[in-house]
Amino acid sequence: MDQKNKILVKDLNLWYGDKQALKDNNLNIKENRVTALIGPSGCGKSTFIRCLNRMNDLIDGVKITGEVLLDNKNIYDKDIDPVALRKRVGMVFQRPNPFPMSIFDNVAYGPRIHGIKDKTELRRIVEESLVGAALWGEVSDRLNTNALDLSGGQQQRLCIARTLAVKPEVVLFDEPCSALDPIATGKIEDLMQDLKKKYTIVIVTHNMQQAARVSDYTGFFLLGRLLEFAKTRDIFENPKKKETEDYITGRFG
Amino acid sequence: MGRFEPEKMVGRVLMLFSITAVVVLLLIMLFIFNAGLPLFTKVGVLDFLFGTRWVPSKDVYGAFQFIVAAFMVTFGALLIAVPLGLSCAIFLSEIAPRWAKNIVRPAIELLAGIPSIIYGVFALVIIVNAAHITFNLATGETILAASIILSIMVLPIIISISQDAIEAVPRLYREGSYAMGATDWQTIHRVLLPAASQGIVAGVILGMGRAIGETMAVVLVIGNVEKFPTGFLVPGETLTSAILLEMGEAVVNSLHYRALFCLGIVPFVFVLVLSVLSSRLISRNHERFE
Repeated sequence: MDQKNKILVKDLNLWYGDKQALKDNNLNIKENRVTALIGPSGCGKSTFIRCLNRMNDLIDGVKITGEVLLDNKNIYDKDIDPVALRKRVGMVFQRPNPFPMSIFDNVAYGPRIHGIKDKTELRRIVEESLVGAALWGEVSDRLNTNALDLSGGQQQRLCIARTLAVKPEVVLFDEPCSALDPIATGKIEDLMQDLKKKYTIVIVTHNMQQAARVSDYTGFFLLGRLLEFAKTRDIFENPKKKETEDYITGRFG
Repeated sequence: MGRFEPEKMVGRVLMLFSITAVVVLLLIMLFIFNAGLPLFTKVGVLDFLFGTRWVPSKDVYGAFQFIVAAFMVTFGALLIAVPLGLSCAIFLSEIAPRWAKNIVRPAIELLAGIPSIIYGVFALVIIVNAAHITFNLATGETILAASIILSIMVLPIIISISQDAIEAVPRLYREGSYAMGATDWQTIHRVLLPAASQGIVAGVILGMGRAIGETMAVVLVIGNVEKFPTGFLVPGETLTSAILLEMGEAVVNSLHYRALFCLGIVPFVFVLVLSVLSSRLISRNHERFE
């Protein structure tokens, strides 16, 4: 059964000032699947994922051409509000970044800024999101403690809960495990398998085993170009391009 | 025979110089306490702090009206400078395009470099007259006029320390907030300001210290009447302006002389406490972001 396309990227180019960081990228991201983007450091995979929720808008001197269609609507159209877009396309970052406030307030942050004031409603969303991020059992009795007191892995799952609380359709993960130990990493990888039932997931990772374990589709980036994109099994067992094969067999990276 | 070790020498010389600064501070403290405190063998501490009559010819030294005027001037200045300074800090750190930053930031630094007598003369001509006309007063030389000019003088401190505090909030926090669909303003007031709050408070405290110690600009515009200040639209006299005006006529080591030193001890101790407080807050602000 073929899955619907959630995001279609067409001829995407990006420049930081004069330096071109992304070149003519085309890609489709399937709904309710995990799409992994791999490649050596500096290949543009993080820059690419940040185009999908227009986080690059926050950086001075970035120029983007091409289209990113979310449900067939270009998110770079003039009538699209990046603030509203980021509500639909959430993001979890490389280093856990909970705000210096309580666990509850961290998760309630998104719903609150989007206008939910009702206390019982907020409590319901916070619980649901923490359950969704597999963190509820560990923190349900101390929602009012400072989020910075949690371990790194817990903080990252809190950030996932915080993202889920906004009820996004797509969740972007930008190397979410690079600051975590193997056990915390394992928990987040397991979580992704749950999350993809409800959300479309894109993950950037420099860890090829991780891409192989969690993703349904994999794209290989090199020097700002999406060199190869296919079902994860095909990429790892039968890469078409020599560079892809060299990278996944560890001949460079 | 020890070898000559330039590294160690440099370290020692630098340490000697920094110790000098501490020694000077201690000497100043010793001097003013030594000059002032003998007052209390003749005048009660409470009579000094809470008495409202100041008559040197009769050796009556009640400093309450000076203390109250000094605090009124200081808090009046902060009431104006904190909202202005904080807005300016937010603008500079979060909103201003680079060209605007390049104009505003140096202008503010320049503001900090203007000698206080210049502020005083400016205030005497402009602010005092404006107060005189606006409020239809017998004289514009009021506590309000002093508050206004002080507020301008403490702005640079409040702005630069608050701006540093806001800019020290890690980019990760900003991105986390924006990634959830927060607007600029939501990010500023829900994430950045709370995260920077300790640094901002430290800036306000330092501004407070500057305001309470300021003398020249204040003495020119406050009217210098030794009466208990009943509001912001009346003249008054602060601790420091009383010292400035009377020190010339006080006989060395007389009771009057000692009383003037005691007037100096009040803001001195206050500023000391404030700077300890603010340096603690600033360092804690930095610790929070590792």
